[in-house]
Amino acid sequence: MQKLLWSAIFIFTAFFSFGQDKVTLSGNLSDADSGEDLIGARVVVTELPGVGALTNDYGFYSLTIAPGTYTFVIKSLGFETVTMEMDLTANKTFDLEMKVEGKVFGTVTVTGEKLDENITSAEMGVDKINMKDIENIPVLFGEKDILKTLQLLPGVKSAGEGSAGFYVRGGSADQNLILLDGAPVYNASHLLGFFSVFNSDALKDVKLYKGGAPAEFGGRLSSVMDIKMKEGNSKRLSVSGGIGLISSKLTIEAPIVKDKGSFIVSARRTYADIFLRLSKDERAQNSILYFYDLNAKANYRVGKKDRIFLSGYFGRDNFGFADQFGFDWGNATGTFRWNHLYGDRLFGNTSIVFSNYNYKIKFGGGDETFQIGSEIQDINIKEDFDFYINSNNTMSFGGNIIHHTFRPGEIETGSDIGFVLNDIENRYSLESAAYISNEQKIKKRWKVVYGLRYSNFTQIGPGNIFSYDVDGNVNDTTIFGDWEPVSSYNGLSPRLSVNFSVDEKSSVKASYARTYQYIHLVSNSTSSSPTDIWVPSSNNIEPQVADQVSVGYFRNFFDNMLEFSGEVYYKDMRRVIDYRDGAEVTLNPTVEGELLYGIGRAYGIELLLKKRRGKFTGWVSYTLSRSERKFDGINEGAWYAARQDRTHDISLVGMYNFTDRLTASATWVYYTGNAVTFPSGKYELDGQIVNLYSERNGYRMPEYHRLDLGVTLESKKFKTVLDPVSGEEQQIEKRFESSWNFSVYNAYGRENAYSIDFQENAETGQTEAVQLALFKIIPSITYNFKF
Amino acid sequence: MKSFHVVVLVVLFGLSSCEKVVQIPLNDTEPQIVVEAVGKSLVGQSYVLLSKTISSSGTPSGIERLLGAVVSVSDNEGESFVFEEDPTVDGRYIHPTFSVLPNTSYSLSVTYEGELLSAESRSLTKPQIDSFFVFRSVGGPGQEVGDTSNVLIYTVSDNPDEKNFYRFVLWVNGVKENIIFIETDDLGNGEVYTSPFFGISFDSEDLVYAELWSMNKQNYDYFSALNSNLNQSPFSAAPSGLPSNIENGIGYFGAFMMDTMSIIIP
Repeated sequence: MQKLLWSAIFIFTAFFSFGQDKVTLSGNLSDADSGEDLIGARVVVTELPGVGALTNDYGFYSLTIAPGTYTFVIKSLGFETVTMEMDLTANKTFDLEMKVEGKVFGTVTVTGEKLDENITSAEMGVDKINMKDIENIPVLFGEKDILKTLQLLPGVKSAGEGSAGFYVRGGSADQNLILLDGAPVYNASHLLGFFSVFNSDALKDVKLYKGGAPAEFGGRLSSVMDIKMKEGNSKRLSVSGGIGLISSKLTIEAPIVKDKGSFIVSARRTYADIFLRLSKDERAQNSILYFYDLNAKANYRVGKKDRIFLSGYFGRDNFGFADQFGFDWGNATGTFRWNHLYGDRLFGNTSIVFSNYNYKIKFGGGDETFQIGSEIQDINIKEDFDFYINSNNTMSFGGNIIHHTFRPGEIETGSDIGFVLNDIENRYSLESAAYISNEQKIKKRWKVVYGLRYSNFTQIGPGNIFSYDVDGNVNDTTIFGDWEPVSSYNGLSPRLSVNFSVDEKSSVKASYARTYQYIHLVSNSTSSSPTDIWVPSSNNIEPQVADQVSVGYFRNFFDNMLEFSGEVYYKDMRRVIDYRDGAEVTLNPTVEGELLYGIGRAYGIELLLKKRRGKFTGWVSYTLSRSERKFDGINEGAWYAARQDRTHDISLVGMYNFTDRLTASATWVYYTGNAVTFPSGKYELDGQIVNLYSERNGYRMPEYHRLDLGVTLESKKFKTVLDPVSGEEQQIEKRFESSWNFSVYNAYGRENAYSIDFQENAETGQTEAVQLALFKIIPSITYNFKF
Repeated sequence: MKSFHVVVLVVLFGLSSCEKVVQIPLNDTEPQIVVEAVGKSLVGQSYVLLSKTISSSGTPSGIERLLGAVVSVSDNEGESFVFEEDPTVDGRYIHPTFSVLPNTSYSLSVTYEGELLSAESRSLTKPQIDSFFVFRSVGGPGQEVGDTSNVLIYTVSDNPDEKNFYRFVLWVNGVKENIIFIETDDLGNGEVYTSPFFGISFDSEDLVYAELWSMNKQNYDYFSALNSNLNQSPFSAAPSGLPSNIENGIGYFGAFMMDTMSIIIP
């Protein structure tokens, strides 16, 4: 199958390459200030309407046209547009460093996105976040967070109060593939989900595909979040940092060799535990509670055609109590990338990716210790190509293979414990994929992206592999040797997106995608927990599959100042996973016997109206949706609302620039409460009163709403000096910039329910509902600087 | 695990969080018959307790115990035992000579006002408590520094020839402890297990009486789900209907092999 696909790719490419009397202009576009590559910058040819090229994730563009003299216009939002005439008679390389537009006048929103990309691109179901917006939008404890800001966009829902976890279009939290420089991040949250692992100072670009992801991506049912770290300033040393209520951070960027290579190192640590020391409560004094993150990246240009990148992330949470109890968990990722230009039209990228998530729980100290650990580790080799066939066709193709290691439970005991417990056996698997995709312009009005992704998942030895009967009891055990295949699954995922431009201001888009998910998060709790573990597909667990279709209408008003989009989607899911009632998921070697398989469906409409320019910017987003599941063993086989089913979800975001130094912002969110299971009676059992639960997710949490406010005050950007020659006053840009950010989370103090428990009223004996609200009004203050 | 999460929440957000009683309209279901049928390997100690469910707005004192039912237990040898009403406890049915034997299948039959309820359960082999010892801990999570607490630690020898599921039931000075202590041999078949009774601290001179029940997976799953329903937190599994083995009713029927041990806390 894979051979066949590769042959097809080469025949296809050969077909496009032969017999064309054309020349290619290619090169790199970057930011003149920092040297960072510009993603999605546009090169258009004035003489050939509709002909142009976009830079890829590494700032590379390639445009193949007939020889001649042309006027090229190079633009990227927030940068000065460059127009130049060029005599193009042979293949030519042209690199350009673009200057930040209107820098002298202050407020500029820097983003790689073009003004009307929402209309012209075939992409749909994509949410993008502008890194500048993240700085201004108020968040809990003033800790800027891309995952939380993304939750303000349509189709993306928060997993709960203050949570960095999210649900996309009715899918569960584990159905999101979160990639940091191509490396999967298996647990993207700190401190039980209240903070994400992403330090926004180290990030350059974030894209969330809610449906119709490019064929390059696969492995999760609902979405792909593609996060790219900054490359680091290749022009000069630059330092930035922030001091906040619960954490501080520092970022250093500098050239390795000017204009050839650079690095960035960014670190963040919380210090809630320092306040604990000050507490009068001795319990608090003896507690340890913090997390930290370290992001690092370096890149170097080796000659004109090659460039290498090395990036990594390391983060950890630590919780402990004196020397009696310790609990720590975290992710580590590493990515090595090699960009190579095979001629002017074929861009290749080779990646070697490492990712690890683990946790350790330790009881006792000295020789009297008992430690439990769990781990998932990936090594991934990936090859991607962008082939710029001609000005109407850009093809992407490639493949990868991942080796997964699952260590569900490693147990270590100290010498004085006096008993030995067995580890839970490791599991191994190989996940591979090959894909091909082409973006094609047809006439002036149509743009089509069509692709195919083939994937394979093979569970391999060594190990004792169990089989289960219908009740989940082990009925057979087979021993497999190293690398011996146990079970194997294949998936063919067609992808299609079509864009029809109605006119310059509006377009209609449609997309279809099939996705497969081979690894599954075993969590039966309502909130994210560090002890949630991933289990691979196996002889007992089949992969999850989803098909999603969506249709959308996109329209811009007032010269692209206002942007509107409406999308409708329907997602059909098969072999989704739930757990038997009372299932034990941690440290259970036969956890596969605890699973149930069912089907799911999710559908909805998403509306977004966004104002992009002017003193006032922001957006209104509304989602109306359903997400349901059906399992034989649950609710007598009837459809029921999934936990993340929320009928209405509204976000309002507004930012106002009073002056170039003062920005105020406000967000308001409202959503229908999650579907939950509440009691429908009670009875006596084992000498106590027990609640009677009859219908899964038959009730709703109270509706959630919250207003957050923020103000950012920046330092003066210019200083006045006297020109030594003329003696005149001059405005000179200051090297040192700083800002104060004040924010209030939950400004009107709404007591939103984090959880509702049922208990007997001590006097009447009647069942009463007790609501826990975590946050009332939370003010915070942050100081940021950069030089 | 749950307590860890609660500690973190309190440490992190203790200042801002707040609890209050809210009004949530709860649906009512038709009253169902609840069976608590505990077969023990000690002669005369088995019982069947029958009651009915009530609505959430009802009070525990309003729970109806069922009198006048016909209750019998039969084993796979064809022997049948008719349980009679306990004159001292309403709704409780007992038999003076019945005891659960190892590796035996039992059937329960209850007839109440024309309704027939039934259940099956199979016993395993007799479990073994090796020892109890008391560990005096000073400080610790959730304690003031200098506080001492008596932690009771048990040692149990697991039978390597079968897959075992256990439940400990404790009585402290004659009062039954509500915490459900359950355990499997997942982490080491045939090993000697040593573990504290988490979540309970004893005073000096407390008389602790413990029963260790060995049971099949069906009964274990029931207690595991019950335990999870009784200990709801934002980090626990969503509550669910319990996987009852009672046909036509709710509750459980278990044929438990037992071992017992007592200790006076020094």
